[in-house]
Amino acid sequence: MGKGLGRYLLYRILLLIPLLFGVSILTFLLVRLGDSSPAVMVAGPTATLEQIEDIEAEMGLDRSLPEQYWTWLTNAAQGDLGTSWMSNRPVTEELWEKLPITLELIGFGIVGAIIFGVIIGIASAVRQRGLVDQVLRIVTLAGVSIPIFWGALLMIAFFFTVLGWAPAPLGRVERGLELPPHITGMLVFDSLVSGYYATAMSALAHIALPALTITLITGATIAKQARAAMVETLGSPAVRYARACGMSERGVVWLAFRNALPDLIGFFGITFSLALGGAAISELIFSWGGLGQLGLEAITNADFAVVQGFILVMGLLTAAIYLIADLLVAAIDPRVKLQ
Amino acid sequence: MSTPPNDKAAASARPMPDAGTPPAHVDHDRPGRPKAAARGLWRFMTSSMAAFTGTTIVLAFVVVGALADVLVRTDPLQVFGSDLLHPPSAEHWFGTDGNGMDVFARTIHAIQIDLVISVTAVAISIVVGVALGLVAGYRGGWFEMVLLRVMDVLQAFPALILALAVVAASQESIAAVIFVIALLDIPVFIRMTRGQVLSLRDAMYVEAARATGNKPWRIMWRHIMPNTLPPLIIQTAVRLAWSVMIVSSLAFVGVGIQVPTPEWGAMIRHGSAYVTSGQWWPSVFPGLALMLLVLGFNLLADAIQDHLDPRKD
Repeated sequence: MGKGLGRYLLYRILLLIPLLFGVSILTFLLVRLGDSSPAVMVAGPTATLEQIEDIEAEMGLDRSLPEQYWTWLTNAAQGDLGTSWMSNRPVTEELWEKLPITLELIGFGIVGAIIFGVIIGIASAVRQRGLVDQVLRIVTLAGVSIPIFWGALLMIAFFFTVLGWAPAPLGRVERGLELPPHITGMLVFDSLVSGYYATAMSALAHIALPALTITLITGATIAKQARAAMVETLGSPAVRYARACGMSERGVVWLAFRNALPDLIGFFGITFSLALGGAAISELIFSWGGLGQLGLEAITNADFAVVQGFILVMGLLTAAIYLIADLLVAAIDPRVKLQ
Repeated sequence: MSTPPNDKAAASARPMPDAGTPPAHVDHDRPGRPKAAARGLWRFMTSSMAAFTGTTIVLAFVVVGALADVLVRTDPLQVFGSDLLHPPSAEHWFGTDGNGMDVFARTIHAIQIDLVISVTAVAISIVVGVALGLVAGYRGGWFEMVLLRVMDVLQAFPALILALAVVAASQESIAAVIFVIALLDIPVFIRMTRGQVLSLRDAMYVEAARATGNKPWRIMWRHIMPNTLPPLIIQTAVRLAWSVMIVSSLAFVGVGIQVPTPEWGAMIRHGSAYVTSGQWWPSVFPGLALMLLVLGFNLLADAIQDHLDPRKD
């Protein structure tokens, strides 16, 4: 597969260029569509019209849109995504710093969701129409219907306010604890590797609630898809034949799962891109301080440069996930050929 | 050699109808129609538990939402000055929020705004999406190419984040929310309709319709479109659930609809500040209503799917 794989990767990456180009034009226009101007916010409520115009000129907002876009694009091609007016720091630097923080949260959440969702889905499909299936179907449908931000609040109300098990939803680690040296930027990993066990425990306790929220709500979606895929393969001629030949029930389920896996991996990709938006909102609730919180706060504060960069990174992440999903499917499914 | 003309057959054959002649036995305004529709609805509702629960929930929300002003006399904007964050009681069933407004009245009145926005947005996206999907699937060519690439871009990054960016940038809040939800739903309907059209385009009956001289628009509208309806109906319920969720997610982040307008997401946002100090009611009740409505639409989607395709499950 070696040479073919290289060519396929190149093809997918080339395909990404027009896509990101389109995404960047779209976001560029969208954030400038309205009347909210960052200059007004920078200048503050007492500023005169002249002061605002001065600031606009300084930020380059008085020039024509194509001109502004061209400047942004040429800079972006050199890795410079502009400067945030809120923090006065380069956007690239900020995104780079926040990315691992978000990836850690989403990583825990999504891995949990896949395990939880697949187990529930299989359990449901194996006992199709039985009592277990009925109950699980209602539970998953309820899970799919819960908005993530409300789910997060319920978790806080229950595990923090009522039970007092979880730490306050205010960031990634207890204040005052010594932080490990920066290796990956992922706190749990960094502190474990550097031997800061107290910090690691605190970081784990802090990540538990937001990750569990993502796990339960995204997991419900995955469970629903896993059940449908398993019902399909369990009824397929190949599986029925295996059963007729006397294969054990466990073997039958495993075979059906193997056959459903390519479909499931495709679903995981889609679910992941859906979870990105939900994860961003839960970051806001748990004051997580990652990419999501940065982006959402930039959106409500008309911090154009950060919004552009944020959406670009989200687009890249989504594309990367789809690519990984496609490669995995190609690796396990002999029917799929990379072209 | 020429075949002898079969004069008898030619004489007895019915003359070919002109292109575009409506079929003979279509009687549009039969008085029995509403009755038949009601019977159909009843048959669907009693077909499964999911169908019954889903229909009941959605109908209840529609009725209560439409009659909110009559059913709940308390003004959702009235401030009960001395009763800030009062827990649920006989006077205020769901308690009062941080502004001293009645949470029950606000939760009920919010049905209107959430339903109207979602239904309008989904209706717009169906009209635009189905039309574009029909043309793209039937005509193909550069139009289809361009359309699909634009859809790729629209679907390349998380919908919620795109929605947030658009709504935050514009000042017209409700119109912007409707616009952006419609924009995000359109690709779904385009792809779905196009897929259906591709599988029907070369069907024998479409060929026959073309051969008898029907215009492309007529073929698309009268011959292909009706056959794309079942998946369209399922998708409509799914998208309604999703739209309600997005409307309130936007308000929760603080763009779009703002407090004091009664809207679930905005109410949950406002109430979230009190959750850690134990005042759960301002955010839990509106969330419960939101979840129930979304659940209703999801149940409907599942039930319609089972109803139309009994083979599955």
